[in-house]
Amino acid sequence: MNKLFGIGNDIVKISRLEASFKRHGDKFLKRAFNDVEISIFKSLNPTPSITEGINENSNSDINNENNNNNNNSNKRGFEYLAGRWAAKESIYKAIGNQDRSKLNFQNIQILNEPNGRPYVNLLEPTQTYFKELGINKIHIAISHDTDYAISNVILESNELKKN
Amino acid sequence: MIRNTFKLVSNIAVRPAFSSTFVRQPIVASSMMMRNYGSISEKEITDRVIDVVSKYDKVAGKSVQPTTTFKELGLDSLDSADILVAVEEEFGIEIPDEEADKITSCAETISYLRKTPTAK
Repeated sequence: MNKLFGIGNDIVKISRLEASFKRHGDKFLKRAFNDVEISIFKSLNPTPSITEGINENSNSDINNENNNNNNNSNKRGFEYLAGRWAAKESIYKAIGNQDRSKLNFQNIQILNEPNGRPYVNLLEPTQTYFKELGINKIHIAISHDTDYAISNVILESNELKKN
Repeated sequence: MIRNTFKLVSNIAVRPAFSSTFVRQPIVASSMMMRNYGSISEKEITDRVIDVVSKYDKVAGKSVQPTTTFKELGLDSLDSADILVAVEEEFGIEIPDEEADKITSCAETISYLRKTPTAK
């Protein structure tokens, strides 16, 4: 029997991710996203200036979430990043604003099932940190519309573990 | 006998070494610690950190002091990540994620740089 551990949400303006990426490129991406997410983002951004040196990745997670912007695939990439950022922040908030350095956003992979539904894949040592907290299930939703991306997260934990 | 031998050895081997480290080195070490961290002075680190933070779009027109926190400047986690990458570029270093996640103010940024000898 699980119990509710916490809820969190976050909203972010998509253009902020674009501005940060344009200022700092890969250095910014590596600060918050892992290699899989970065590869997917780059595959969504075919502009030569920002795909230079890209290791093209034919990941099946690319086709996710609703995409009504076929005429603007650049925007799709930043929507993708903004959705991931909002999701990671939501998880941080759902944990209860604990020590951010233990969380490490790069170790929180936000991926998609073939039907587009997002899910969280934790990498070590963050996975162990979640186990220590007793968290055994993460529910996540991501959405975006025009300028903003939003995410909601619900964490469940073992009933016997203390928060 | 053993005690006497030990005394003799201590007088010869330990004492001179102890007195040389204790008397001479602190003068050099303390002057380095007070003035320089790697090749950059504390004042220069402080000035350059404040300059990087002040140039960030959202900070325009706000007063930035060495003690100012990012929260006081109205910055969130995304802004902090952006600013720390700018700091990395300014000083030619890479701040490990676990360290970067602990930095939430100009003072903490300066403190990290002070203990980073590779900062340029």
